[in-house]
Amino acid sequence: MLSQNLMEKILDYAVSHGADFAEIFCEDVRRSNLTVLGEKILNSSSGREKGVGIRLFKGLESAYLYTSDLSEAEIFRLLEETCRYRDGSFERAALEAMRRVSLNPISRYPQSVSLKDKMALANRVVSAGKKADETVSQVRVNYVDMDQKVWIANSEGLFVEDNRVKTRLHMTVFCEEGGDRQSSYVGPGAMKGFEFYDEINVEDYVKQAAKKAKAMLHAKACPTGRMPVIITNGFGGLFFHEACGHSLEASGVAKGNSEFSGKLGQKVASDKLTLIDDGSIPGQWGSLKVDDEGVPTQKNVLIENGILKGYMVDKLNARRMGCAPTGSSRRQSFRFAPTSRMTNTYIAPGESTPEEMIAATERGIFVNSINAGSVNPATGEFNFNTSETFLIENGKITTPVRSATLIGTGGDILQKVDMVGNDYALGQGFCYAASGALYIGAGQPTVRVTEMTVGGDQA
Amino acid sequence: MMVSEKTALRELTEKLKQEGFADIRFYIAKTRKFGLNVLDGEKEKSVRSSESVYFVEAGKDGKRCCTFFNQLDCAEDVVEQMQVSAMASEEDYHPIPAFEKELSYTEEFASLDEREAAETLVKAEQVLRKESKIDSVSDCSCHQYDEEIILMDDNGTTLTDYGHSVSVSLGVVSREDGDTEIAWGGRSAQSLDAIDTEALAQEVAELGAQRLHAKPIASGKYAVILKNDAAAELLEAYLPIFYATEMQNEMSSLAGKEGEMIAISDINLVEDPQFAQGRVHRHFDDEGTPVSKKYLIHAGKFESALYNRKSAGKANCQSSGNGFKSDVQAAVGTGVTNVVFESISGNTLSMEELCQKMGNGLVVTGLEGVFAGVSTITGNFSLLCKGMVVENGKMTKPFCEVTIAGSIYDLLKEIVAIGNDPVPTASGSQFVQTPSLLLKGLAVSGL
Repeated sequence: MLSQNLMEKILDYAVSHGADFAEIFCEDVRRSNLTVLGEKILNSSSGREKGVGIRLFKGLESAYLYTSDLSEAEIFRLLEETCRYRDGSFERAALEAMRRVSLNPISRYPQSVSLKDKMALANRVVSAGKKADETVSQVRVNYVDMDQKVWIANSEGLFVEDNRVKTRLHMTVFCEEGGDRQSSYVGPGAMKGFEFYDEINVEDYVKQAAKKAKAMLHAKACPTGRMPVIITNGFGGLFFHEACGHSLEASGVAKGNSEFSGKLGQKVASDKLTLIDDGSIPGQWGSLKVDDEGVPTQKNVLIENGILKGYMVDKLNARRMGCAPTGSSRRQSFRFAPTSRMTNTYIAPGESTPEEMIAATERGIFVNSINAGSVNPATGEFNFNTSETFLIENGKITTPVRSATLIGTGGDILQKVDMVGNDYALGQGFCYAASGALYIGAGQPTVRVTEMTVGGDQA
Repeated sequence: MMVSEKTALRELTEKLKQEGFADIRFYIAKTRKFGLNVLDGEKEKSVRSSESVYFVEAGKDGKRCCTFFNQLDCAEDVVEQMQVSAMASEEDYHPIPAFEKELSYTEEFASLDEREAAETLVKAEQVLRKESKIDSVSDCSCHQYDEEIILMDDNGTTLTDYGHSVSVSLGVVSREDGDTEIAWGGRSAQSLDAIDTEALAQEVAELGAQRLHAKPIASGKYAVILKNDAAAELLEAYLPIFYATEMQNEMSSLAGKEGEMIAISDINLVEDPQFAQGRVHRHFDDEGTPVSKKYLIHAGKFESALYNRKSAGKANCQSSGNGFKSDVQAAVGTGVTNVVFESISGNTLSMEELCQKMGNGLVVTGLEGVFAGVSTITGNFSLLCKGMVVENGKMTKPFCEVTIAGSIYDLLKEIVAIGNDPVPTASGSQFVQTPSLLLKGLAVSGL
């Protein structure tokens, strides 16, 4: 990648041309992606990319430049254009000796695993999925892996190298019967090498997806209106990711564009709710040892027993807010300036059991699987789309209902959590926002919200 | 392409040939971007980039092998990746035929001047802030995007095409008496001065103010006017139903329905690579097939699916020039240039006239969750929305926090009237231009 000598030259240029802070992010990443539909390969690609992103601050103004051309000439061409109208000269600290962040041991790096072995894994899933039930008509498998090396150096003297290895297997099962077609998915992943697939049972996972898809066949239209909603554990945590997670990122909070801006210390949620973002959980899909500014990740308690305790903060917004960064700065690649984003976000376990929650609900819905959602942090309005969903009637799960859209505002919904389960689990997914697509963990125990608007296709 | 670059790729070609690869094809994307945000009358942030990404595919023993890279001094690595790909490839290779001659479509565009761009944005921000209910400006930015797409065969013959656009994006947060709302608008063109940024700012500010104190409404079936940008966003999400690949994989219900009425007879849905107001001005697709104007829907009938070479091969027909990559690193999928929704008769109405015709119902001005709440397999959608209630032909009060649900197939057949206000989707998505549409009815879930 860039030599230390060149990095120092870049930092010197930046601070002598108006930057009171400068940062270099170098990346060398290998990725592979395989998508299989039944016996057919839909897509298979792998490759390697390198690039550099340079960020400059002056007060609250920032500039970002990036390139795949690692020559000094091109980097300085972009740097000179960026600094053309900047003035002022600042000092910088000498770079410390480069610190290599220690990686959890990886026994099978993705690039050491043949495409044949990756295809064999996908084929195991397809085979098990098709045998799972007679209604299974198709199985789609998407395998991804990444081996990313980053070097981060800045004008404060930080110089760190990190290596992130990730893998995930996303399995979608399609079931058909009597003209009706439904699908469901599971997607286990980890910050691990290919050995992850020896630690889990992929056949069991795809059977789960098949069971969920089958359960939705001939589902009735979901009733609409306001009602209690019980959301399952694990990736059901996407609910809180959307309902309040984004609104707790400093990118919105710092400018007053979040419904949680200025509310530290206030009661913003039910006292049964504790919300945490933790990028330091070993081996998890959303984890990092250091964030994409080189700050060590940590466990950030965002809401504790309903009280707002903290936000997720990156360096630039830390300046705005007058606080310290929280190891929450992330970016998809060198092509993006980093900003505050989630890592593994979850609701801490409570004391109720899912059975108690369902028994205590006269009429509502039980969401056993979430597809995706989005939020507007300024207003708090969120939405998410569900797949495996059931009616609850007289304290029992009854009829499957077709995918519904659940909507509300974070501030309102958080206050309406009245039961939190003891069955915590963490799921894996992707999040798309300003600094690109990121792998994230979202988790929770089973949770009941006393009232939420449920949309469907019945008026 | 620079001589040194071409030389490096030709050397790589030779190395691959020595390793037994044949019909070597490169896809190269060279992009330059510049973006600027303004806040409180000052530059807030800027971004500049230059990048080249390479994708190579070739055949070995008749099987397709590929890899992507962005460094030209890593030839050994590339060869190794291709060998890894070859070891397990099960996909037959159908190479793009070698190019008969060099072809180059390029155009020079002036770079956005940072200071001029800043001045334009500062003026737009002033217009936004003139509306008293605007509490903050969440986005006041412009971006220039320039792209060169080069296809190269193993003789070193190249096809070169280009892309260029300038876009403006404005967003506000409005507040009054404890209520908060947001509004956003964007436009793109070939140059910044072709965009009326102050008019856009006025529109966005008015929308932000209009949305305040919105309340959910009662569930029910309502006549709905989908405002132009909401309609464009929804239609863009459903483009895959026209892709032959989706039909062949049983992911679209339009399979085998060519010639059937799928919309009202007054509608065309046209793909036009040379559409003057379009964002895409390509001459060939990402497989080197010439692009062409074609009807997706013609007088209400489903005319033809969109094919790339692979789906055309399966269907035993020619590619329709719709082989596009979603990312350089990915294989060629299906995509479009510029898609335009038009009324054949030209009998279109203003928003006021659409409201009068509707009488009572809703104008939907914003949709959320389109990426999750739309199924291209079933055609169903269920989306969070906001907008205005219409009573006796006039917009009366804003609404929010409700979902609208329906099916794209029903929607196309239940268009009652068409607006005279076409706008395209935002930059960053495929170009689809649609006017506002009055629909017979959609299910609304609210109170």
